Amino acid sequence: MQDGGEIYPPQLNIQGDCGDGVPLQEGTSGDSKQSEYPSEGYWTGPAAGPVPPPPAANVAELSEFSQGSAASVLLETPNLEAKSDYLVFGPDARLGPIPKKPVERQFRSFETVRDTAIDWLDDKLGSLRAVSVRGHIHRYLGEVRQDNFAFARRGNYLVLAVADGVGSAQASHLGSAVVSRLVVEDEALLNAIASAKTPGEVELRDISTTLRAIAAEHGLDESDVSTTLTLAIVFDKPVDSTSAETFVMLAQIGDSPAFKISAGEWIELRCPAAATSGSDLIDNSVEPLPGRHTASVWVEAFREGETLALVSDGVEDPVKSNSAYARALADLWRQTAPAPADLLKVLDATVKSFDDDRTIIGVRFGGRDS
Amino acid sequence: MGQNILPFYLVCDESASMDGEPIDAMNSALPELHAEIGMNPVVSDKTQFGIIGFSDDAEVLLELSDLSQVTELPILTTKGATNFAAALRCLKSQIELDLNRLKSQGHKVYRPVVLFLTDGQPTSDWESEYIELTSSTFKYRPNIVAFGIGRADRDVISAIATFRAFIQEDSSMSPAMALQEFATALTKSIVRSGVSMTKEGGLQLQTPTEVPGFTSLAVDTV
Repeated sequence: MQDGGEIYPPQLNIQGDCGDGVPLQEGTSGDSKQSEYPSEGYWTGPAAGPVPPPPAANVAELSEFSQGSAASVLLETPNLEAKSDYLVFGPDARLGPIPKKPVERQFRSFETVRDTAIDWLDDKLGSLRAVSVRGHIHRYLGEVRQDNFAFARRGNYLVLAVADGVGSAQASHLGSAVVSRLVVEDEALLNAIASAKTPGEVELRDISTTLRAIAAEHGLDESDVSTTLTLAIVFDKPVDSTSAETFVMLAQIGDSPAFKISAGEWIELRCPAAATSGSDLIDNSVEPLPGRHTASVWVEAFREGETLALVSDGVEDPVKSNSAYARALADLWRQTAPAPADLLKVLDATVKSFDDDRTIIGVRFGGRDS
Repeated sequence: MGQNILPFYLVCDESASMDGEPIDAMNSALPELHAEIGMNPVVSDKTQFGIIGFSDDAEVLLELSDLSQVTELPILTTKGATNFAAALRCLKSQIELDLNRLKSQGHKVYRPVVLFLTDGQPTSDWESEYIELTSSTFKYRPNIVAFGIGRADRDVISAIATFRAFIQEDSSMSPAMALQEFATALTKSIVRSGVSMTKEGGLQLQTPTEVPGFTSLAVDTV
C-alpha cells in the first residue's frame, strides 16, 4: 500500500483513507493539521481565577473576559513529547524524527526512495562514509527524501557527489537521484571537469540535457526535477609524490556546500571565483540544474586526518546555527571515520526549526580503516 | 542556539465598525489559531507570532513569541477610528525591533509575513506609511496578506496587500480557520528551497490562491 499499489482485498480499507489511497495509521490522521496531542486536558485552566473557554467557546462565553484593553485568555501549554532515545541539540522541537504516515508518492523515481541511505568505503585514499536521511518535515508530511548522494572509485581517483532536490519542485528526488549517479559514472564529463582551468567555471550541458529528457519522459516540466549538484574528484597521489597533501577538484551548481573538517572544526570551502551573497534575511532561492548548467570549479588540498565533507544545506544550516550539533558531528571524524550508525544518529538529531533532508558524504584522509 | 524563524504578525482592526460579529469572531478564533499554530509541527518550530491591534492608535497586543510558550492571549476590543497609518507605523517599528533582536540572539530570520485583518474602511490617509513599510529601502519589508472581513472595501483590501488579498464571502468559514490554513500553507512554502524566479534572486512564494469562505482579489502592484 505504501507504494500506492492496489489494495487487496478492498474491504480491508474499511477505516477510510486520506482521500488518496493512503491508509490512516493509529494515532494519526491524513490531515497534516491534526495535532499529535490530545485535545482533552490541553484547555484545563489554572485552579484559581476564571476557567478559560475551550477552543470552540462561543462569543457569549468570551465576552465576560473582554472588558478593557488588559483582557486576556489564559492558556495552558502542554509539555513537548519526550524523545529520550533520540538526540536533541538545543531546545526540544514540536516536530520529532519519527514518521507519522507512510510516503505518498506522486511520481516514482527509477528506484525506491528509502527514508535513509547509508554507504561506506575503505579506500586507499581514506575512509568514506555517506548518510542521507529524510528531513523531519518530509517524514511528518509523508514526503520522500529529496537529497541523494553517489560515489565511485575509478583508475586514479575517487569521485563523490551530493545532490539536493529543490524543495518546491514536485519530482526533485528524481532529479537528484539521476544527477548524482550520472556524474560519478560519466568519465568524459569527469575528464572535462578535471581539465578545467581553476578557479573558474565549466559547462555541464550534457547533464542538463539528460535531466530535461528524463523530465519529459515522465511528463514533467524541467523545473520539476530541479536539483543542486556538488561533486568532488579526489586524485590519488602520484607514486613518486612526497607531498603530504591530497588534491581535490570541486565542482558546484547550487547551494550544497563543501567543508573541510579539521581538528573538530568546520571550514567552508568556497570557489574563489564565485560571488558570495550576504543577505539580511534567509534566502532559500537557488539556481539549480537543469536550468543552470554552469558549475564553479576549484581545487582544495587536504592533509592526513582532515575530512572532506560534501553536504546538503539541511546539514549546513544547523551546523552554522547550532554549535553543539556542529561539534558533535565534527567530533565523530576526529580520531577515525565514524561508524555509519553513529554518523546516522548524530546527523538525524532534532535541531529545532531545522527539518530539511540531511546528507553528508565524507572522506577522512589517512589510509585505510584496518 | 540559533534557529531559523519566520515572524508572523497578525494586525487586527479594532475600529468601531468591527463591533459585533466581526470582532467577536476574531476573539473566539484567536485561541483556535493559537492551538493550531502553536502545536502544528509544520509551523510551530519555526514561526513566531505577534499581534498588533489598531483603531485610533495602534498597540502591540502580543509581543512576537513562540506560540508554544504563550500562556495568555489578548482580547480584541473595539474602539474608535480605523487608523491604518498608525497600524503601519507600529508594524514597521515592531518588525525592526523584533528582527534585530532575533538576529542579535543568533537566529536567522525569514522575511516577515503580515496577516492584515480589516473591514477596510480607513478613516485617514496611510499612503506614506505604507510606502515606508513596503519599499525596497526597508530591508525587512514584509509580505502582506490582506483579509477583508465584514463589510470590507475591496479596493482597500487589494491596495494594502503586497502578496495576496482575500475577502470574506459569508460567515460560514471563521476567519481563524481561514488564517490557520493559510498560515500553515504559507510556512510550508516559505521554508522550502525554491528555484529563483526573479532577476534579483528573490523568491516567488507559492501559496494557496484560494482560502475557503474567502474570495481572492487581485493585488495592486506597488
